[in-house]
Amino acid sequence: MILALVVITFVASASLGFIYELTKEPIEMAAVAKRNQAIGAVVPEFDNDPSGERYTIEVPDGELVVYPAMKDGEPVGAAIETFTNRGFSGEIRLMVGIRPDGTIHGIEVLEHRETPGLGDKIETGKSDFHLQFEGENPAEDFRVMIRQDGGDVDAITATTITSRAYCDAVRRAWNAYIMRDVDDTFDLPSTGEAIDRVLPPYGNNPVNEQFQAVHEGRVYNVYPGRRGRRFTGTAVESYTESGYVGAIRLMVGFDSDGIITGIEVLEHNETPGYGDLIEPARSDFHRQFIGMDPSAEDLQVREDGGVIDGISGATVTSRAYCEAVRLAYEVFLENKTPRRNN
Amino acid sequence: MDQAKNFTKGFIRENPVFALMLGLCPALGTTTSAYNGMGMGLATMFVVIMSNIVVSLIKDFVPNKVRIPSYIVIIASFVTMVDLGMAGYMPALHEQLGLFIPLIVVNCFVLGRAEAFASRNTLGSSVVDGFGMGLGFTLALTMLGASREILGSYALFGFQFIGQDGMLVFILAPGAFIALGYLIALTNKLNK
Repeated sequence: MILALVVITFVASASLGFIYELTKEPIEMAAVAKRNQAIGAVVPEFDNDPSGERYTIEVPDGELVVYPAMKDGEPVGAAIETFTNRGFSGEIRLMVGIRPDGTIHGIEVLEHRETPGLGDKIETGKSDFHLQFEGENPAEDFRVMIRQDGGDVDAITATTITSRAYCDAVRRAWNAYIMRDVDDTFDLPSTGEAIDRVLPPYGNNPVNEQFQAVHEGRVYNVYPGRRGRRFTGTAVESYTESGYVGAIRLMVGFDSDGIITGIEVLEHNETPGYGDLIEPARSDFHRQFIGMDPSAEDLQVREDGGVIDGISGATVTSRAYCEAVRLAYEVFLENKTPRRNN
Repeated sequence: MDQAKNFTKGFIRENPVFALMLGLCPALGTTTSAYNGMGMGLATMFVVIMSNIVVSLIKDFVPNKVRIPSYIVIIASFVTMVDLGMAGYMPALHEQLGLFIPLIVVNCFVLGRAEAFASRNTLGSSVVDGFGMGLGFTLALTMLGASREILGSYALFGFQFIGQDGMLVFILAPGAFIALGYLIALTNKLNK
């Protein structure tokens, strides 16, 4: 019995190994051919080898691959392999071509699992959806969001989620491209630094006393601050996925009465010059919240009937920021009584 | 056994999908177009023929207690070969069928042929059986794909004959069940 199984599995693995070696090269070739074709389709004419000169850019939830295109030594644009996880069924990968001035030159779909007959209309050749982006520059009054979300892109009928995800991937690529040479990045604080900046004076080590709180099915890190036995405040690490480009992660500090004592941005991927103004080093946006009591004031942007002045040109980001702050407050309320990790 | 009858039994009388109701998961999942259905059918046909050959060859060597694991290993190996081969030489089709190729492993129709036929019959009859049943499966998936594509996209094998959007429901999951139901009814009528 064992002999039979050993022989069968041995023969099976040997033949699979052989087939794997045999098909390895064609599979790689097919992937390279597809990528090169996509690069050629989305950037202006070039005479260099974009695949050979590619480099990657780290973004919060993954990495983007940039294929620079040059002609006679001058950059004519770049093809950016980008992605989104907001598709209707799984990841969508796009190749977005951007000219040096930030204008979108062309877009090709590399990979998706959207519904045939509906979501697959994002593919070039199946509909004109992608043409809306060509020749548009997101820096000049072209908001890469579907109209339902306040943008300038007509979603494919009955395919709102896929269209929204497509825009998300395009924004990710564009932001990364625009940011590639920008060297004015302020270092965002580490968790420890952020806690220190947002909490009222404390004498303990909040990181040691950190615990996790579940709120509406999501887990948040909570850092209680104490002085002796007296509870002085709480820092809540809060996050939302509804940023303009992916997730925004904040550290929000409250004193023992629930008054906001400070907010730091731990992570975001918002547009430079607009959404990134949520960083405390870049604008005073966050100061509006300090000293506020979320139970008394409506912490929403004015457009939504609240008291917060949104960052102009970055309503979506401001709205997401407010959402994260409100979530932090809800977590704070549910975990007011300080407890220790067993 | 009459080999001609053995060959043709899978077409209608014992059609894997419409009569035996085996392998319905890929049959419903991949048949959004006739081309996809045919691709999936042909991939499965290759696997069922090859696994029938091997199972029939080793049927006296494999102890009864471990026959199912052995068959699964054999089937899984052939499926992986199809998967790799398709990825290398037919990347476009591979992308369309993607997830469903590995699922051929658990397609009860393939294991069913190995267990119910190949393990009890000679090499010759097993090849004929695998070929006939595989063709029947391909036929079923192509018909299912074609009817869904005709109604859902007003097209056949990618050629659009009415220049507008079709009846969306046939592209989506419910349409697969509706089309399958009517085709099963038709098969039952023919089998009467």
